[in-house]
Amino acid sequence: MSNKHTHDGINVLILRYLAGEATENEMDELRDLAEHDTTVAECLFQDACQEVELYDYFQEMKVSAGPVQSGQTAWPVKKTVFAFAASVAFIFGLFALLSPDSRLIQGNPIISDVDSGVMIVRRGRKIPATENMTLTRNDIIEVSAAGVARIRYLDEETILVLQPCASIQILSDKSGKCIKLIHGNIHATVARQPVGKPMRVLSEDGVVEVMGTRLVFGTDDHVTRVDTLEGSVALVSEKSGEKQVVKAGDYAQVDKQGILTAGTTVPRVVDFTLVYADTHDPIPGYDPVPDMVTVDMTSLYIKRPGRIACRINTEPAVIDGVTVQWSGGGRRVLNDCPFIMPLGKDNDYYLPQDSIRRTTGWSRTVTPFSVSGSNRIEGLPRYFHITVHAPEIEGIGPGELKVINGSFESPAVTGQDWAFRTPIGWSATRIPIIRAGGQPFVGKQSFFKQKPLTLSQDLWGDAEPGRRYWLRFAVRLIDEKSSVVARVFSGSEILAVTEVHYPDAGQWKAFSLPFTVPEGRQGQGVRIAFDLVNVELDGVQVEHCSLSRKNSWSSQSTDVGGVFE
Amino acid sequence: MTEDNSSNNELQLALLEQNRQWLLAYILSLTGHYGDSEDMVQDVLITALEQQDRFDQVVPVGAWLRGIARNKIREYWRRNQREPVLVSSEVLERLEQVVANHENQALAPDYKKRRLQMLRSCMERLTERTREMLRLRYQEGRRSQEIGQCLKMAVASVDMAMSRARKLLRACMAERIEHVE
Repeated sequence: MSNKHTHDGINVLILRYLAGEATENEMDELRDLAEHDTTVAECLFQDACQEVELYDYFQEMKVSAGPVQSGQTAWPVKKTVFAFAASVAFIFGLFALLSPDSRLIQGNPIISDVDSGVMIVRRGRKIPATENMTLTRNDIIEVSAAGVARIRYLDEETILVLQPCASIQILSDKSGKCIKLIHGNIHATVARQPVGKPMRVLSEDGVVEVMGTRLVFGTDDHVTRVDTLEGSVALVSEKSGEKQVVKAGDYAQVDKQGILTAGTTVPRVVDFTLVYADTHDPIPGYDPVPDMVTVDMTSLYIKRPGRIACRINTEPAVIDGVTVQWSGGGRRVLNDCPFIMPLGKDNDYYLPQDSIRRTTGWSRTVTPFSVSGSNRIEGLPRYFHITVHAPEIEGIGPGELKVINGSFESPAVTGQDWAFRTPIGWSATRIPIIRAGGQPFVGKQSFFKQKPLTLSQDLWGDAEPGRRYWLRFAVRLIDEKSSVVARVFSGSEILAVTEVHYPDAGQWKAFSLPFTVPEGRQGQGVRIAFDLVNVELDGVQVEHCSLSRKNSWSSQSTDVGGVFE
Repeated sequence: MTEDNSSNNELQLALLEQNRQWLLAYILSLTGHYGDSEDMVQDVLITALEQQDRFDQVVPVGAWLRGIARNKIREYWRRNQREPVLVSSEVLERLEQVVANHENQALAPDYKKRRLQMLRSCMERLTERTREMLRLRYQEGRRSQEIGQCLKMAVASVDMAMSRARKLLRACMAERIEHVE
């Protein structure tokens, strides 16, 4: 290294260069250094690698944590507040409490299992929860509407399952385990606690002290409720100090006025929600899904074929379990809330293709129960039926194919056994999309740019007029500046257009844009175009339906032409 | 399009995507501009896709991509009428060696995921203020001067603090890699 520069000086110079902030003089200096010392090139590359990693890391954090308001920093620069806090800590000798070791709290809770929508608020900052993350005092755990989080105490078998939309704060200290439920429901399995150190679960309105049992604790804007599944606990009203012992199978609740009521928990099935089996996110338009509903599969976007399921919504929201009975006699008990009911057979979530061919309906009888074993309390069974409908039978012309009593028949091929592939069972081909000017982009792309970037490509040269196609894609908006406009053209005519804007930021959203190629446009081609600002784009596909003969499920792949250079 | 061709294409796309991170670092070290480097990576991958028929399987994929990148970078400097920082063939050769060594490690299937996990835990070692400084730079794209205004620091102090934070992160990650191995 040059004698003129210290290591720190060279590092700063390299960083300024990589950040695009180096002046002409600094560039000359760096050039000079690199010429005389080849290790500078090595440092430069290693720093560039770190630069890329840091960008990737913080962009990922940005997407997970949601948008930060312009001009607002996550670190509150308020010296007076710090000064005050420091003085108070000094006066009361609380420095010890703030040391890292003292943050290790009773039982050592960790996040043992987590969905993607779970966030931890730690010292004013929101960070995504990850598996095996150690929790510290005052951490707030927030679960999204479609997520679930499990917290496990390493020293024993105590497990807390946070249900969708739940939010809790860890308040445990050396005196024992303690959590505050801010909102939602938790299902707690509490191992036997040390004498004199019960686990405390509290809300704004009430508190329960648990020595070892299973219970469901929930709170909303009106009441705090505890349902005991095993053993017994006592619920104490914060306002009146009144106490109610709650035995297995019973519940007690306390309202905002501090009034306690109690009774026996008789669970019931409220309704059902159609969800994506992979994420458990509700499918728009089917939350709740009415009994006896007919689902138009062509209106759904399913990234992986067949991955739909049904969530059973109960009251109370968390109960001990549900029994699901198939119309054919099969039976299955679901114990993990949220209760996701598979629509397929053989315990998977796939829609059985055979059933699609012969019939389009599934029936289930669902019975909720609140306590397992001999004290089991069952609610009323509820019958549920769902019909899958595929109205868009393209490829052989309107009127030639009919759905009769759940079977597909075609007058043109009477007597033949036909197999039908709905779009949900479709193996779509990913099409390379070409940027305006003839350059394709690759796979999932991030467009963290503040200016619009237009991508367009002639998809195929021989689209079939009159046939219905779907342009499917998924986007993730980053912040309030993000937007997407997708258009499909035939010549200069716009066949379909859709726009996506904030506030749907942070989550992947799937879109399906149907279009039909006009008659008389044979061989003229179709073009799709995206205007993308500050978004990620993925899974761009074009699909259409067609028929195939029996036993040839995989032979008919998406046929959208071949001009994809 | 046959299914074979389709899966072949997907494989190619995945291969190219796997090379994105080191390629971006390579181009960044030669251009010193992150945004332009990102665009150039995309251009390189596009060219690679277009020319995949001409790819000689004897040459490693990384070397082939670097070859395409070098042409793009030359064009970039010519267009911007500026002189690159790394000029002599000796220096460039050294860079090639370093990148080739790094590229092999980076191709491990879970490389990026592991590094991000390590980075996440190493971030905990930094002070809140330093983390905020990094966030302003890498999440919000703020320049040193703006960061200085936000955090009431001189520009030179921001640069120095940033350099030290990165040094600490590097050391922490090296320590963890050693621990794992």
